Amino acid sequence: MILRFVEELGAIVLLVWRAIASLFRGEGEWQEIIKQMVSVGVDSVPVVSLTTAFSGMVLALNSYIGFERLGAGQYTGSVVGVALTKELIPVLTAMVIAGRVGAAMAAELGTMKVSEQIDALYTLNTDPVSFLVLPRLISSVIMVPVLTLFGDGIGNLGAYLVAVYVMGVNPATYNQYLYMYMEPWDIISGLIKALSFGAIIASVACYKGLNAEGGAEGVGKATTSAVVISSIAILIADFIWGKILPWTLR
Amino acid sequence: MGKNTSMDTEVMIEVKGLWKGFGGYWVLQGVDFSIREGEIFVVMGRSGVGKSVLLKNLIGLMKPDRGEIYYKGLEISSASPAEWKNIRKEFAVVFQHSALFDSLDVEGNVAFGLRRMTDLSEDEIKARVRECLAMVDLEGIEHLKISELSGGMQKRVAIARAIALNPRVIFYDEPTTGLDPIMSAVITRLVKRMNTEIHSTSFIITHDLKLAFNSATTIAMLHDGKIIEVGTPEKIKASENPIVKKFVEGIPD
Repeated sequence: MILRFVEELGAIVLLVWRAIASLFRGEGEWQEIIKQMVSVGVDSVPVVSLTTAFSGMVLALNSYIGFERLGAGQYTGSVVGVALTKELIPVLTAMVIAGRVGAAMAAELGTMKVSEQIDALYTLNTDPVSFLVLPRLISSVIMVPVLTLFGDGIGNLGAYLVAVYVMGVNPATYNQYLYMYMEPWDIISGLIKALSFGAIIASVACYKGLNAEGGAEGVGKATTSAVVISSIAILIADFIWGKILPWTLR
Repeated sequence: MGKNTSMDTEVMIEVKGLWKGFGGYWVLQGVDFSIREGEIFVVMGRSGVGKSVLLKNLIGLMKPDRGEIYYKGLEISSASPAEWKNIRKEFAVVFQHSALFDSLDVEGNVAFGLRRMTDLSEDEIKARVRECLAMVDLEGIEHLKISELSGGMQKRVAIARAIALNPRVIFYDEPTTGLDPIMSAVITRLVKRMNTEIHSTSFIITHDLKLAFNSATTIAMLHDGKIIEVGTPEKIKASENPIVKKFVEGIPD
């Protein structure tokens, strides 16, 4: 089991390495990259908006209730802001993208594998890594942070609206404490994490898809394991980042 | 049908002592044959005798465990990636389930190799796509999606994609499987037409006797990982080998 884990991890790292190598050989396909950017980024806006808006709203709601018991309701904004940008929005956005985009990537590449389209690519002198994996990897690494930044905005807006209009926090106080205690680093560290999550989602999904075997059932299995593995990997990476980031870049 | 098996034509592909195994089981156990230029060489055999594995070794998707494969005198099973790039320009493969790219339309599929392996202008590519589609009797379907095509149409588009780059050798993996008898006959006719019109050599793996007997210049019978009989369709039909006889007459074990 551990051996298999190490083996798969090695294979995924190798896949990423081959994709990066093909980028430096100038084999990047801009049309494909733009197509993937749209499918990873633009098409994910609605679901990311909903997820982050509601998590901002519910966090503000519960934080205010808790802080109010201590008589510190005015701090809601700053605590919610830090929690959202540093932790919740990057992880939730990545999870949603893993489910939406990672699953689609694994299913598409898996179907191409079992229907011999990958073999057909080889026979047409086209390396599936530069043609399929590289565009997905690049667009995911760029778009997950972009969506996270967008989610930061939506999440905090949701939190503000609930705190001010539902719980009755003074808007000026809310903003004052938000700006006083939040640091740019909170947002930046969240985006650094998001970048790594983007790499995890695309590399796991592409690896699982390209190694799918055995018809429709195999594609289903590849898709499921792509989502499960990337979700777990995101949480583990998040923890590792949580340990590393405070004493490295800051 | 022109029988192009005389000794003055060049040997295109030569396979010598090819062994390939998986997990301790030998699928191919010393396969030998050679294909001359212009031939339609059919490898026939029951399901699971190693026909697909043989094909994958020939087109470089698998590497032999033992033995050599020569293409025009060059040993290809140990060729470098750069050499394979050149070999692939002369090879074309029609896959069993057509393997068309469903993210592209018909034109995108037929033009795929032209766009990536030639420096033709977009107008020249479009003209070549029309020409190739006309050769398989499909005109005016450039902008249909792959999912909108019937199985027979998909197979013909796959053939059009294969011939787009004027290959020297066309490999067919079970080209008539899953098609109705009439479409099978159409494909059989197309296989022969491609050979004469673009002067290519064809390699076909199949268990479809009609396709084999109606198109082949040479038939090789693959059984238990070995070629047990090679010859003209007439010779195979008249074979006294009990395994060949059983296969040709469709007698169960």
